[in-house]
Amino acid sequence: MANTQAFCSQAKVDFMNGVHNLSADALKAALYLTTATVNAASTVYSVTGEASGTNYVAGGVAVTTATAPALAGTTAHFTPSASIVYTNVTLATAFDAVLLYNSTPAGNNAISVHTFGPQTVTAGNFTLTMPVNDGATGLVRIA
Amino acid sequence: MQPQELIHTTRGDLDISLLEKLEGFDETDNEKIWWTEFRMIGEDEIIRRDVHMELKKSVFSNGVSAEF
Repeated sequence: MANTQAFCSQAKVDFMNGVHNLSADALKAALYLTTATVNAASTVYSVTGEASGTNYVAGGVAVTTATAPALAGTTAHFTPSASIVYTNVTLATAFDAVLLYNSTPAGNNAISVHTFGPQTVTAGNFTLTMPVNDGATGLVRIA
Repeated sequence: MQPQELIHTTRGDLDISLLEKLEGFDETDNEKIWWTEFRMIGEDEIIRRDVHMELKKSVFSNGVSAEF
């Protein structure tokens, strides 16, 4: 199995139903092993296939959302306002995806999956720097 | 006495002078990755590895114009 970068399909319905408020809700980011299967079909956060190790807490870390979603032309965009950092972790089994999800709803609704080259971390920090927050490069965009 | 710079590793906090440091950078269409590894001088085991990644591609959902 493999992880695939995607705007989760369920999230499209959830946005229509008002499930997500990216300005106010508690977003989180969980890491997934290369052997996991997180993709467009992911509907909620799941511990299945999640990375684990020293100082990594199941469910991942909180995402800073100080910058509200905005509109650039006809494209809405949102980007976390700070890097996502997993501090002093040891993740010895390779991981290659992060799931952005909303922990405010009881269901921990999935928003998006972002993949990258397989990585391991040893007694160190894993830092995900965000792209420029605009209509062309914002982390999550809706046209 | 020279001031110590301590690095946190799997073997505790060690003086950086005892360690060999390797750094690297990779860039693909999807990301930029900076990594740093530390080993005890003369040993192969990595006792500290940090990764800093910059995501280059976002997720994008195309809307569909209303149709009548």
